[in-house]
Amino acid sequence: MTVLICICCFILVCPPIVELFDRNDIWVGFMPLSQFFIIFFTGLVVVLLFIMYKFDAKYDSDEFDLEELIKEQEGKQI
Amino acid sequence: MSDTFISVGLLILYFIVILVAAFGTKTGKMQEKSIEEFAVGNRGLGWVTVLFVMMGISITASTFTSWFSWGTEEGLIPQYYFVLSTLGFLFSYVYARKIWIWGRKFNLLTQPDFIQLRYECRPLTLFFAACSILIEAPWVIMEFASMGMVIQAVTHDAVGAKIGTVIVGIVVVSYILYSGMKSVAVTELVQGVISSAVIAIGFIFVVYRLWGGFGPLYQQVMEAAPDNLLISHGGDYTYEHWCSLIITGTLGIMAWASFFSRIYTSKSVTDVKRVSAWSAVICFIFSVMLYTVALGSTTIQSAVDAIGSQTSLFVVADLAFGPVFLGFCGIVVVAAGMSMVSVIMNSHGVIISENFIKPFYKKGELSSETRLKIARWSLLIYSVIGIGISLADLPALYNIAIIVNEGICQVVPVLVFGMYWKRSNKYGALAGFVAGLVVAISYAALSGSVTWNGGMVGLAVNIVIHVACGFIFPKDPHVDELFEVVKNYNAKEEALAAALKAKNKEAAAAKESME
Repeated sequence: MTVLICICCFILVCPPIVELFDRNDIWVGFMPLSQFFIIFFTGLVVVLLFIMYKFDAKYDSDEFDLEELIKEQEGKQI
Repeated sequence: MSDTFISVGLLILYFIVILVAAFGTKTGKMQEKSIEEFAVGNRGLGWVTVLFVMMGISITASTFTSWFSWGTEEGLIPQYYFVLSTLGFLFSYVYARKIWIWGRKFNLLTQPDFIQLRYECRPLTLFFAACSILIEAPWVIMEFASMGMVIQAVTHDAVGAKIGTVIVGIVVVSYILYSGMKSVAVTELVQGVISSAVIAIGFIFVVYRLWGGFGPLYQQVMEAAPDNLLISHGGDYTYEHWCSLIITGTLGIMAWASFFSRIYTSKSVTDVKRVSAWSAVICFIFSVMLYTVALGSTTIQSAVDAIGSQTSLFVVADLAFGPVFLGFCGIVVVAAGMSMVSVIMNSHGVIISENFIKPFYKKGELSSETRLKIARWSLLIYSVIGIGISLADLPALYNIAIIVNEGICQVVPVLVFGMYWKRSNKYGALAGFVAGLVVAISYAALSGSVTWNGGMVGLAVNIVIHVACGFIFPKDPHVDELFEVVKNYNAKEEALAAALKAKNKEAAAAKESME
């Protein structure tokens, strides 16, 4: 996921690649290629970031129920 | 005249609502008793609140005035801002863990606190704090100026932009002074919801109303101004310039002291990540709509005529759905300006108190309440100066922001190397930072280049010096322990220990009072 995000960011900020996509004579759907390039790759970064967050939230979360923890601890002490 | 009454009436109603929220509710009324409560809301703000606070920093009043008008004039090139404001949240996602853990463990309130913890070098921290304030301060000026433009547009020129700046400035400053972080956060939540609804949804209707849809919009722009559909604007800009703007801007967002310190306000690392992910999504949707309408506005002569006064958005809003929609757009812009100004001024007031005044006193000599008073007074003086400067004849606001970003991104190697490279030391940090700034400013002033900008050249010099000093000078002795704190951090154990300690303290106090 991180690699894909890095690739998208590189595409957005690499001058030769930007030049390749900067065309108003080629259209993708209802918008020119230049506009599509900006929206598509930025949108892809956003989607990948959101997927990464969902993954981290499921497997690497630091959130917990403090009240439950305290009860558990007090239970152990008893 | 009746149209003016409607749009002005809506704006006045908005001011009444937020002033009631600030002065009339229990979250307002200068409730904060400590500097920590004022600065970071006791590190316990809900994620939705932090979300809109963070978004308030990247969706600014200047976006709606200056960048929108630039988009009307030159099409795609200002959309670099939409890319960088989204990518900026990617960085906050990646850096969240270390910043949050050190913030929690060592009770950090500001970005310079972070620098002092990592490098233990008072001159570096002071220089860093001064640069943070000086580099970020222009945004406050830009926002006050933009809010003045709103008043001019909403009153159909009955009230000038400068008088508008003074009126809005007085309201905003009173609101920020009286409230602290918690109250500002609550009103930013309200503002964020209104902004998202008006721009994200309202602008879809604007596109259909004025151009007949998204496809027809692009076709009409192609007929009227085909160069506006090119990032290079027909050769006026190089691709290196586009890339420089994104890189320095994206790094710049991370380096903003006000953005950085918002990470401390979250309850957990997961919350910061949640906020970053959702902020990126909302900013993306918001920006697509805003910049699409800006692009289309090039086909509307009255919007083109308003480019000089940077009020094209308001012309388009009035044309699309009349004074009610104009009023709502006015509210959105003022709300965005208030968000940005309140967060920056809160952050800078705390920096002045904690990083310029407190270090000159012995530990414990300056109470939290006194530091809080200093922060509030600093905020008042700072805002008066900001409003004063914003009344001057300023250049196009986006030009100020671009230059500012070239300076602020020099902060990034100090932060990033500090977080990830143990050999990063105070000599490299200070030398690299100073050299980067000097190169960036000199390059911008002397070269007039439109390829790689001064910020990029300065960044390259900064990194080389920082890395070289990392190998020349020895590692700072305290660094290993700092990195171990993050490695061994266990959120559950920490929270449990703190909760049990608080419970025992409560029980002891209760027993003492019974005896």
